[in-house]
Amino acid sequence: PPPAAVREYLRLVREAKVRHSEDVAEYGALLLKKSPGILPAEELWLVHEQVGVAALDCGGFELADWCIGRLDKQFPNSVRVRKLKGMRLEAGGEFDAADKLYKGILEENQADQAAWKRRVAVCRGRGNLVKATKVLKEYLDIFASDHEAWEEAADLYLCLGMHKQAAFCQEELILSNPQNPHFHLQYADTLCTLGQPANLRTALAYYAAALELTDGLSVRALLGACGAYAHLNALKGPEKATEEEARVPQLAAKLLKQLYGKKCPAKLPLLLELLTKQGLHDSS
Amino acid sequence: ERMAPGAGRGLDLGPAAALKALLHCAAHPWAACGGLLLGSGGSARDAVPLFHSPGALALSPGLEAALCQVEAYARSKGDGTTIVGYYQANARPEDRELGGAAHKIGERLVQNCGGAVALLLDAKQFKSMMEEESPGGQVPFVAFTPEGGRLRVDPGFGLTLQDAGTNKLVKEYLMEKKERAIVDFDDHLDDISKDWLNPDFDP
Repeated sequence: PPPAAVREYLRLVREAKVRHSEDVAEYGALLLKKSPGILPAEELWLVHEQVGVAALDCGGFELADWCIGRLDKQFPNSVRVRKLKGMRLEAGGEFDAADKLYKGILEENQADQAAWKRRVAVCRGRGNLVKATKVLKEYLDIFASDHEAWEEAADLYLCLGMHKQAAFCQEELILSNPQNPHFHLQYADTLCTLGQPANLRTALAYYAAALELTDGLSVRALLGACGAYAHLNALKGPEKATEEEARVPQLAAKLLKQLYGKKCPAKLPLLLELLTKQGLHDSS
Repeated sequence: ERMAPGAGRGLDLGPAAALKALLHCAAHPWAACGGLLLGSGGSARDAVPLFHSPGALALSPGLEAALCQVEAYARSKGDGTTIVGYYQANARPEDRELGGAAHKIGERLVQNCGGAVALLLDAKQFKSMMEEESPGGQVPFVAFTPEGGRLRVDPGFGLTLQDAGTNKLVKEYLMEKKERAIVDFDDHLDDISKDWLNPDFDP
């Protein structure tokens, strides 16, 4: 592909923060080796860093070392390049050495956020998720408004099956990003997993909020509302779902049927079986 | 006494099942991912990829919706097809444990289908297999079966490939980066026009 197109692709990947490491490494390498001239100075080194990280992500150590070497030459004594070297160590499984490097950076500057995050990554890389949450907690005590960190914490807690703690992080995310339906959805899903009528009712409210934010189009929210309702409806006694509480799920069921009918009619019968089980479809 | 999934303690993986399961795992190298195996009588004819993020594997509403729909699909075939197992790949190759979601699914399978086997991808074996010029007939999974209420490694469980050429086919597909086109239930939830039956991958 033409160099200009690759340049644009790399820029889009940086902006969207997606993890297309194989393609970034492959095409980025071509760009850097064959047509580096089309990149202005600042972007040139940004791309070296981007390609280096992507190479580490897919085990392309030769390419990574090449990028890091050139960055090192251009920016001697750079903390940012030191961090890349740390990531190179991580990729090679040398977690002790990597952690030492990051701790060194933090001794010089406790506010180096990237170094903190790499320490969490080292814990994750070693499979020590509990320690990862502890380091992340220390970080969040200092940088409480970093919502990428709250997301990472929620993810770690979910991996550990610590749903209450995950929910706490998700609440923080909703507070700081009230217009983002994704966080409402994640929170609602976690509450459903925790179970118990109170949590299910709260989940229903958050699925409804997600639906409002997505104009009723989020299939996850629609299914979530139906699922939460089904559990509430299966209860006996005072905790059983009320007629009022059935309204949103019933509407969700209707919307789901319309969406499936339009976009994947072959799966509509399967959806209807689900909704019937949940008490949201009358199959007679 | 261990529960048997079908005729004897073993599972014969048909080409569609192995292909879809392995490509799904390959498509998400940085995340945990999992899916269901469909078939009957000790053989898996198809695989339905479910999720590719640790959060998703752990959370129930999406999982329940998926399980219900896949069960309904199996029944709709009218030929005795049922869910015969569950496969999973962990985010880290050194991680040899099955997480909570696998146990949840395992419980469900034992309830509904009279038996369950969970297959955990052996990422290192898969990798070295794919690096061979001509991959052989090994099955790069470790089997876990229910014992005393938990899923435990079952070294005596027989995993076989129905078709000797399956791994070669997997390798071909990987070389053409076709794993990127595999659709799982997670992808379907983001865009319901995407089909988790992956008909393009039925050899």
